[in-house]
Order: sequence, then C-alpha cells, then structure tokens
Amino acid sequence: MTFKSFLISGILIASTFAVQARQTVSITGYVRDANTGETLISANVALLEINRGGATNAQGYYGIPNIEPGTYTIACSYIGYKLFTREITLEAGENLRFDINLEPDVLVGEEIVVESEAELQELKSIGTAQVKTELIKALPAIFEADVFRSIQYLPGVKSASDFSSGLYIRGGSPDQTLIMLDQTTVYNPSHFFGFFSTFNPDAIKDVRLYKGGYPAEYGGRLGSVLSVYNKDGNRNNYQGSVTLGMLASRIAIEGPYKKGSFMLAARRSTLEPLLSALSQSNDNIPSLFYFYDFNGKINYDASLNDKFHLAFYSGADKVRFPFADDAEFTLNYGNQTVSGNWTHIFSDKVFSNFVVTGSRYFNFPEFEFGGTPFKRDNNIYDFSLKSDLEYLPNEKHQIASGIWAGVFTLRLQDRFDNQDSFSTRIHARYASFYVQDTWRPTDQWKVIGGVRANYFSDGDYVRLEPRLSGEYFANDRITLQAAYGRYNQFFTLITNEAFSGFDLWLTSDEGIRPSYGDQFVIGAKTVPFKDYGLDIELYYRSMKDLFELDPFLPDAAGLLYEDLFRIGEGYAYGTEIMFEKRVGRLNGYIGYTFGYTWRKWPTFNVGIGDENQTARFYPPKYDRRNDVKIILNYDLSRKWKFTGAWVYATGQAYTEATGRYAVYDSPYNAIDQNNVLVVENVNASRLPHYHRADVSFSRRGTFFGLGESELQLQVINVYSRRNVWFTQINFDENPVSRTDVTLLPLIPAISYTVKF
Amino acid sequence: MKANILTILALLILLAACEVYNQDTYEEYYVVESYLVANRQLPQVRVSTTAPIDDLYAFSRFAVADAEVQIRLLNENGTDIDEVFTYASDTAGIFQPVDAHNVLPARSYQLYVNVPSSAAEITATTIVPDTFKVISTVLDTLVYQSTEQLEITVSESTYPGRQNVFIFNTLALEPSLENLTPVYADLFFDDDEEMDLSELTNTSSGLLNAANFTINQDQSITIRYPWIAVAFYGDNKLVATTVDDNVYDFVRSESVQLGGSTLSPGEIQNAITHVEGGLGIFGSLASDTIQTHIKRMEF
Repeated sequence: MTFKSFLISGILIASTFAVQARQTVSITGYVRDANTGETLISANVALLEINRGGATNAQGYYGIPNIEPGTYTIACSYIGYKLFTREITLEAGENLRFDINLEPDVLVGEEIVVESEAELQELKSIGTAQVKTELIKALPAIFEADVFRSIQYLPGVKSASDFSSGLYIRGGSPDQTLIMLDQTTVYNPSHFFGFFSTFNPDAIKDVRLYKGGYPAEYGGRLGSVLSVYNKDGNRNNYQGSVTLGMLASRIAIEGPYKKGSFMLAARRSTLEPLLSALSQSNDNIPSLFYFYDFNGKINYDASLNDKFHLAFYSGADKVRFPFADDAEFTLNYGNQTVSGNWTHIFSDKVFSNFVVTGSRYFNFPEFEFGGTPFKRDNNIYDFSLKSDLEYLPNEKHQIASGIWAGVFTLRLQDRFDNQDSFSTRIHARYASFYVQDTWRPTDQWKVIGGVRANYFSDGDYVRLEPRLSGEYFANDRITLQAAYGRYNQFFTLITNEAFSGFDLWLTSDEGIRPSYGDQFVIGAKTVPFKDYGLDIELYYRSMKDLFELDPFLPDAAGLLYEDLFRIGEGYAYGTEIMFEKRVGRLNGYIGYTFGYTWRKWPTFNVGIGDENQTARFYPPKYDRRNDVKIILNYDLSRKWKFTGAWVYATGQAYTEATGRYAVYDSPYNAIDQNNVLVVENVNASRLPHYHRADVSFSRRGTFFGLGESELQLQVINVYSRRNVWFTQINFDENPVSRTDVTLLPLIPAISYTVKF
Repeated sequence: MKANILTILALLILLAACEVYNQDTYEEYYVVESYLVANRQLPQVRVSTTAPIDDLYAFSRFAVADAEVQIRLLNENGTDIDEVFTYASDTAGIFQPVDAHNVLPARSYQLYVNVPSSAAEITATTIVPDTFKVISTVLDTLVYQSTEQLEITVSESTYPGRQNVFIFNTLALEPSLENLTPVYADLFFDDDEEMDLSELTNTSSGLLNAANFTINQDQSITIRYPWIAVAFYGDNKLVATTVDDNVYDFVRSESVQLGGSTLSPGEIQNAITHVEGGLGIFGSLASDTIQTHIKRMEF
C-alpha cells in the first residue's frame, strides 16, 4: 500500500510539470466579507461559462489558471452571503487580480441564502466538519459559549463528562487531536481545569475539524486536527462588543488602520462575588479563583501580494484553596501563543504562506500541608517555522507542499519539602515535509494523493506517512468518498479526566517508539431533498505503540525514561450519520454515531490465574456504542430565536468489581484492614444511558439606541436528568455500598451582549 | 451504490455484534497474606477466600482452616528448596510457624499452601530486601515546623535489579486530641464522617524511590523527614522500610483501585499479586526504627 501510494503521488507530481505552451490567462484574488474585510475560507469562485473554478484556501485566496482569453461571468458564493456575479473580460497574456467582496445576507431565509458549492464541498470533504461562530454562540452552553463544547455536539465527537471540554474523536483520546490556533499548536486549551476551552468565541473566525483521514498537509497526531482561526479584524469600520455572563464577561474590539486591521478580545471570569457569598457559609471554597484570556491580531497589507499578520493569545487560570489550617493548594496554569504570518503571492500560479510560531504551556501547582511544601514547575515551549506553497500548474492539478520544523522543550521540576525531588528536561527537534497533489482528472473525480515525512530527534525517528483520498461526484446529489492515511504521534498527554490543570506532555524517545496508526474511511454525501443533507461515513483506525504514563507508577524518581510508560495498542471503528437541514427558519441536524473503541495494555485486564498473563482488549471509559445528537435552530420572530440541543448516549464503560478481600498484617500500612477489589473484566459494565436537553432563547434588540444587543436565556439539562459520571464503592459500610457521582443538574444561565 | 453502502454498514454492525464483552460472574479465589521481615522471626500466614462483592465481609467468614502451609527457604540461586518451615493453625485461617527461624536478608523464600479439600495449590516467592540501619545520630527532641528538621541517614542496602523503594511510617506514641498537630486537627474536626483518632496514629509516606533522597559517597542515603508525616506532638516512632517487588507491585496497583491515578474514574484494575493459584500478597521487607519527641511550636 505504501509503495503504491508513493507511486501514485510521484506520477501525479510529475504530470504537473508538463509545460503549458498555450497563451492562456489566469485570475486570482482574495474573497472577503464586504462589511468587515475578513477573508473567507473555502468560498466558491467559478467562471460560469466554462464551469471552471475553485475554493479559497485558509488565507481566503483563490486561483483559476489556464483560461482561454474571453469574456466570462465570474461568480462567488459562500454560505450566509449573497451571490456575487460580475462580467469580466480577460485579454491574452493577462493575469487578472480580482478580489471579491461578498455582501452578508442579513435577511436570513431559505429563499435568499445562497449556498456555496465549494464551501459545502470543502465541508463535505471526508472526515471534515465546520462549526460556525454563530452556532457556537447560539448553542446552549454551560455558563459560557464554548468552542469545544460546540464541537462535542458533532457526530463522532464525544465528551468524557459534563465537566470536561476534552475532545474524544472517533475513539481517540484528547491527545490524539492536534489543536491549532492560527497554525500554532496549543497544548492545553482549557480553562477551569478542563471545563471550558480557551478559545474566546468573540475572537474566532473559523473552526475546522478534520475528524479523520486528514490530508498530508497536517500531521503529528494519530486521530484528528482542529484548526481554529482568529478574526483578522474589521478592515472597514471600528466595531466591538461587550458580553456580561454568569461565569465570565467578554469585550472585543476590532477595526481598520491605514494599512490593515486589528482585533483585540479579552475575557475574564467574574466568579468573585459568587465565591465570596459561598465562603460565608461553606469552608471548602477557594479564596481566589479566576481565569482570563486575551486574543489579538494585527494585519499589515504591505502590498497586493504581501500580507503580514501577527497574532497572539495569552490565558491563565489561577486558584488558591486553603483546604485546612496550615494546608493550602494553589495552581497557576495557562497557555501563550504567538504567530507571525507572511503571505506572499509569487505569481498567479504560486501562492505561499510562511509562519513563525511560538507556543508555551505552563502549570505551577503548589501544595503546602502541615509545613511541608510541594511545588512543580512544568513548562513547555514549542517554537516552529512553517512554510506552505501552493502551485496551480493547470486546471487538473493543485500541488501543495510544505515544511514544518521546530524545537519542543519540556522543563519539569518537582520540589518536595524544599528539595529537588524530580526533574527532567526534554529538548527535541522535529521536522516534517509534505507534498500533495489534488488531481481532478474529470469533473466527476477528485483524487488527493500525498506523502508526509516526519523526523523527531529524540530517538532519531523518521516516519513516512502516505495519504490518499478520492471523491466521486456521482451526480448533483451524491458524492462518494474514500480515504486512507498513515499517522504518527510523537507526544503523549499525561492527564486526568476529571482535572486538566496538571497536564503534562511527554515524548517518544529511545526505547519509546512513536505511536502510529492507519485510518480507513469511506463515506457518501447526499442531498436527498433541496436544502437537506444526509451524510454517512464509516471509519476504521488502528493504534499501535501507544505510550502513556503507567497508571500504577507511584514515583518516577530515578527511573529510566522508558520505565515511566506502558505501551499498548488499540483500534476503533464506527459509523457516523448526519441528517441536516441547512437553511431556513428552522434548521439544524440529527447526528448518530455507532462506534467501538478498544485498548490493550500488557499486564492490564489479565484473566486471574492466567499463567501466560495475556492482556485482553477492553473499552476505555469514553467508549459509547450509540450516540445521538439533535440540534435545532428556529427563528421564532425577527427578534426571538430558539436553539435546542438533545444528546443521548449509551452509558460509559466502567468496571463492576465482582469480589473483594482484605489484607490485615502489613507492617507498612497505616490502616488495619486494607480492602482489595477483585475484577473479572475491566470496563465490561455500562453506566445508565446518558441524555440531556438544553435550550437557549435569544432576543435581539438595541441598547438605548447605541448599538445592537442580544439577551440570551439558557437552561442546561432542562429536565434535570441526573446522569451518572461514575460509581464510587464505599468500604466504610459492610457489605459495601455504591454511590453514584452524578453530572450537572439543571443549570440556568443568562448573558447580555451589546455590539457597538 | 446505496446498496453497497448499506451492505458495508450491515457488515460493520455484524462485526460489532461479534465483539461482545460482558462482565463475568463472581468466581471464588484463595487469598494468602504474609510479610517476611529481614532478621525477624517468620511471620504468620493468613489463608482465606475472596467474597462476593455484595456479601457481608469479615475475615473469619472466609477463612480457610484446612490448609497445609509451608514457607520454604530457597537456595542462593532461588531455584531449589534449602529448608522447609511448616505452619499450624491457631485460629481459623491464621497459621503460625511451628519452628523458630530468623528471616535471612537477601534470600528467596517461597510460600506454599495446599488446600486438600479443593486440591488447590497456591505458591508465591519473594526476595527479602537487604538489611540497613539508621547510622546517623537522631535528635531526641524537635520543635514542630522549626527550621531544624529530622534528618536520618541509613546505611547502604540493595535490591536486585532496581533501586531501593522505601515506605516511611510515623507511629504516634501519645495520640490524643490535644496532641494533634494543626493540620491534622483541622482535618479531624472538619471530617463529616467522624474520623477515628486511631486512623491518624500511623501515617504512611507511600512508596518512595531512593533517588528522591541524597545519596552519599558511601552509598548511604540521607532522608529529611517532612513535617507532613507528623500528626501528633509527643513521642513518635519513625519506621523506615524497604520493600520487595511483591509489596511494591501490590501497593502501587491496589492503592489506585478507587481512583487517584491517570485511570478514568470507575476503571478498576486488579491488584498485582504475584501469587500463583490465588490472590493476595506474600511480601518481604527490611526496616529500622528510631524514636524522637516532637514539641509544639512556641509563639
């Protein structure tokens, strides 16, 4: 398979260098929102008379090469915008630069909204999904609009619990998803110890999720890629918004300046009054807790062909919790990212993008207990250079190539009782190169072949990853798709499902090989009726050489690096079905996922008495067989809008102990009777089914004539279903008792936004 | 084409249906428990069975009285039996050595249990850690949370194949409400579930690798005793213990059954026991004890 993929890629690449001798012309440019100047990703641009066109890339740029001179109608469309058409005449030898400004369609209605085929096609690329910022803000959210929790509503994406915004995609753990903000890796995108993601919805322009089978331009994770793009800032007018919420409040401002635009957004939790009130009647309340984040971006349009932007993010959570006299816990954790981007158009056929990125993740937990301090300094630094080139040799090929090289540094220092107890430093260099060809041999076929080569310095690993996908446009209503890819991962996340404030990333090294896996995806995208979509995808993925911290490891001091880990394997497969109504006063979707995911770790889940100690596969807790998600948006009137969400999922896997015994005589044990559970099969039982309904009502209005306003009233878990997170066994009672630890009850929320 | 998709879908569902993974029903296992301590007399051995999880549990209800119990000293290579020590039951399920024997450090011992009524044989082997001594001078009295902390230096000792792993226990000799140190007093009085004072009289450090401590030129190890270990003012015994692989594996795996590691809440793994034909622990230790007096802080 690998050899074949290479061969196909080679042929595709070679074929693109055939010299085009004819005197043809081309048309290139950016597609932007006419009001704000924001570039639009995956907008569709076409010359109607010759049925030629393409979609804008991540920078909003498009190119149509090799056009015969003549007069054409150029059309551009994008969901939520009015159709743009203009007659243009192309002279022989001319390479026309034609930027397009699309007018937003303010009158949302099914007769007016124009769908972009390219946009739909891009979104319908196999394994791909988009979450629009409007939907993120509209969806009922636990206290605060959140990108990750919105993504959790997609088929194939699962959450560990109501308390976690972690993304479990197609049977993968959260560390198997590469998360990027403006092309910069974000290592711990969470606030409130995992409850929310770090991404401020006011600052975001676009969210793209590649659930699986993703192309060669991405790499580094076994499962998925989530790419979040911040807004560029309004290039035409100053505007802003202020949102007051129950958990946090936000402010955002954006506008133009002489040669570009800027955007600034800030968010801070506003829990202090609540904590203060609670602390009057309850001892177990933190004396300090807040989080904040800032997003910023400044664009500089140096020339028609050169654009620069500088983007940054900085966010942190701080908590101080004196949980007893002479005992206190403090934690400071967060992320900082910065990226400098240069977009340069070499010619009508060559587009380039260069990025310098920096990412830092830190956490500094401290305990002080009875005069004994414990302190950890955990810092991750990741600096990288990225370069991507797109080459449009002719109408049949689009070649993309790029490099990504960087340095990853981890510094971990533990101090116990004012003495160094553990320290490690990982300083790894990584590099990857990819080449990819999008080949359209006919109007009905699209084939994307590529290969990605990765290098990781710790252990001197070189890994090749062939990728291949194909689409067959059977007719206007049916597209069939298939994809295959090999993926490698050099990182593993040490975390706890219940608390992400101490997250630690470790890497492969000598003796710890990088994880790898293959993904196979087939799918069909159909349009059963006008404005409706029915999509089906089937996936299978393998996971080999998975490495994660040995959960039985009590103390890492003095151990060899390879002794910190358990090495295992896994696989996952399933089906995702999504039926959606895309436009209209009532729109939304029903998503269904049928999935299995399995893991096997040596010495874990071994049958009692098995002399060979053969480990058996078992499902991780986040394995859910059936998963249904229903999202509905309904415009009740010009001012009022309703959004509802209902989620159903098979109960999570857990271990039902079958037996018990006790040990009594241990000289080292602080208790007289130490109870031990006996397990036959790990995670072979299921918690009760999970289901929950959330609703949101929003009312648009004006704020004393100064600007538009929006009032949001939301109720999470409207029928207060007490879903079970896990069951705790209590040995204080004899026979043992079990306590269900439940998830969120009914929670109302209110927020008010003023736009100016 | 639609038919093909449906066929694939049906095959996938069929494949999934084959992957049935249900919880098995309860099975009974024999359980043994015994800990050899270097240079001390042979310990007692407990033999019992597991209990169904929802049964009332007491050792006496599941004790195995009709077992034949031996502890065997193996030769230097740990392959053949050098000496056999037979055991006799004094209480149901609890067996005492018939003859006296001082456990030899750095030697291998095997536990052998035979239950004639079920023809079950249970065996387990341990390598006893080498002995060590506290070789530093121990202060008679320390002021709680003063800058002068207790430091102990223990002599060099080894364990085959790995660094030494310690457990430190603080045994309060004058446990009373008045003697509770502030943080433990707060935990004790705030506890909703009416904590028993006896639960605090023995505090344990858990497993700690030797690499945590200062290793001196002569390979002795200096340990600074943290104040967190002191729950009571007054006289305290401090026990330093090194453990064998069986104890190490048992403690580290059993201690996370109810949470506290990277395992998801509700995922329970069996404890690692190294017992063939049953469950439980046959472990060994080496230890030394010192005593000191902890005075209150004076303001």
